[in-house]
Amino acid sequence: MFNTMQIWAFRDLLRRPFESLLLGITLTLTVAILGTLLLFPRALHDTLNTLLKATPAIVLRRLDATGFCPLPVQASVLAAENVVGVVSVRPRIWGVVNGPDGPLTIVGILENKIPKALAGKLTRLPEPGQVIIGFGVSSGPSANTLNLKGEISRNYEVVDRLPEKTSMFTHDLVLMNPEDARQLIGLPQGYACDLAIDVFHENEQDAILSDLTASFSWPVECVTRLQSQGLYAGRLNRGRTLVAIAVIPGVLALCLLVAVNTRKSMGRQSDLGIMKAMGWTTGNIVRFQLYRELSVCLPSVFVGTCLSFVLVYGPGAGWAADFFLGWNTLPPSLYLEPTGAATVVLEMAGLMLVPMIASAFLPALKGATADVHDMIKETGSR
Amino acid sequence: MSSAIACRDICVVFPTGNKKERSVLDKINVNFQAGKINIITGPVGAGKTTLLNILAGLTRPTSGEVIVNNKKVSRWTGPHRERWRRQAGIVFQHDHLLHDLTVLENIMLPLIPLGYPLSTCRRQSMEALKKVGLLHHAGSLAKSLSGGERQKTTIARAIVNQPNFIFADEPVAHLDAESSRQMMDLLHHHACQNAVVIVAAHGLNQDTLPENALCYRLQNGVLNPLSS
Repeated sequence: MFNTMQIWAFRDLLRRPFESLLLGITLTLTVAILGTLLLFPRALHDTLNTLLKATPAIVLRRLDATGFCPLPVQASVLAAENVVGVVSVRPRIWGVVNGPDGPLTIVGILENKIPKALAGKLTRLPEPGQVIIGFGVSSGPSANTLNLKGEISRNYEVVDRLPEKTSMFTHDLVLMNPEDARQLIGLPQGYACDLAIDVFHENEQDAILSDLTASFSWPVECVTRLQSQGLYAGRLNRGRTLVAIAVIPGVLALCLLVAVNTRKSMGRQSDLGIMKAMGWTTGNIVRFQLYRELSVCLPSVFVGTCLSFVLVYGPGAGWAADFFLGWNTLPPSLYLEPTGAATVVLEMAGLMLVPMIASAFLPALKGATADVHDMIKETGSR
Repeated sequence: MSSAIACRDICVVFPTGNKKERSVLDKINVNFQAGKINIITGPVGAGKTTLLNILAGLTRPTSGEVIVNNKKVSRWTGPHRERWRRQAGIVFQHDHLLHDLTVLENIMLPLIPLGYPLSTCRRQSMEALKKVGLLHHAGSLAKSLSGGERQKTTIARAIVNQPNFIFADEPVAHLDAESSRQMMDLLHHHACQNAVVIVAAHGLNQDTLPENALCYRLQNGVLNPLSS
């Protein structure tokens, strides 16, 4: 399975077991820390982008002197649908009410108006008096009822729970019958909170804003998907800045490791000279050094990467939601998308392996052209 | 075909500072043949170690050529000389063992790059250790050995791969008379098996010399044959 040179290289590591172990642990932790710091913002960015793609292209809300106010459904839908480029208009009923453990977002949901993000996630729709709750919603003393306080206070029957993997956007969500939602937030009959508008082309979002605004006889505010993405990108940048600061000591630690390894390898120049005198070629020595370094570096990088992967993509990473997004009430378990992880993992492996292995090669390459006698530094008589 | 190594007009000049130079070897011309031990004697500083280093390909002469089996070794590039050294067993004046390795591992060192299985390397090394009488020290660290034991270990390391050329620099300097005779007999045995054996020694002990040894004296940069 292993050739003689590989076994010899491994034995060489075992001759200094504590030194090798210490190097391995240090490398593993450096990879784990750097990996986590690099993977997490990337994963969060990718996941949020995917989620935002499932949101409406434009959200339109009515404004008055006091701020946002309900808009009449019939007149609003008619006005929006008359704008060229608009594909669909969906009035939404939603709001924030108090639950047993803190504020919750309620959404009134109709069979033919299910949001894209929840399509396929619902096995049934809530009847009047029933609710479907997100994974982070605590239903209080009784597991089957949920007490909500808004304009009215009422107990609802919990008929289903949304999957934990949708926690990124359903964690504190309560889905209910639209009439129940209307009562709870005090919304008059025939009115909606806002309009979710989809357009024919993604790049038309900004272009039709002026037409949309002009088609309403009252002031409105439109938020596009691109604006939402920009908003979240801004929040992520705060986290990224902190990450960049934290990466600096990690990279410095890596530089220190490489420097120590180079110094250690250069210190063995005399040993390499003796080996060459015994018939080892430069190629043999390079292979020997390569096997020895890989014996430590490969397992360390592998374990370190796995650790960072588990930390970022493993369930229960709610700590990060608090840190990066400020969700300090009912923080969700993050189920992030590992789509961009391969690039980061390869970058990490390259960042760690290349300098470490290069540091081991230097003495062998330095000795390639040197006289063996000079390498050994013989002090004998002439 | 028996092995042979020859020097053609080998000169070595060392700089001594202040733009001055010192000639250590001055046009050395000699043929070393297999079958007999070749012994180079001379006073301290005569250039014996330098000559052995040049012959073993560890360093290059200032001018002249080393010819091994009609090939000019001293003109070869690094990789060729590295491969040539696989045919050579070297006993250094100072032991130059790897002190973190055990005695057995030190002796296995020349065999590892040859690609033999580890068990073969181990068996051959144990045989070499047995020949120098250090079998009981196989598992000891090299740094724990006495001066004489280290010298025996370096001799075992030099002969472990049955080389065609053995270059031994003061191989018995730290040994008692009995051990010296045994080690010279061992080198003589290899010479009889068609290896070119060249030994550098600053003094000649007639009791330890094999009967048919060829002796040379190196003095003032010139190598002259002596009667055996």
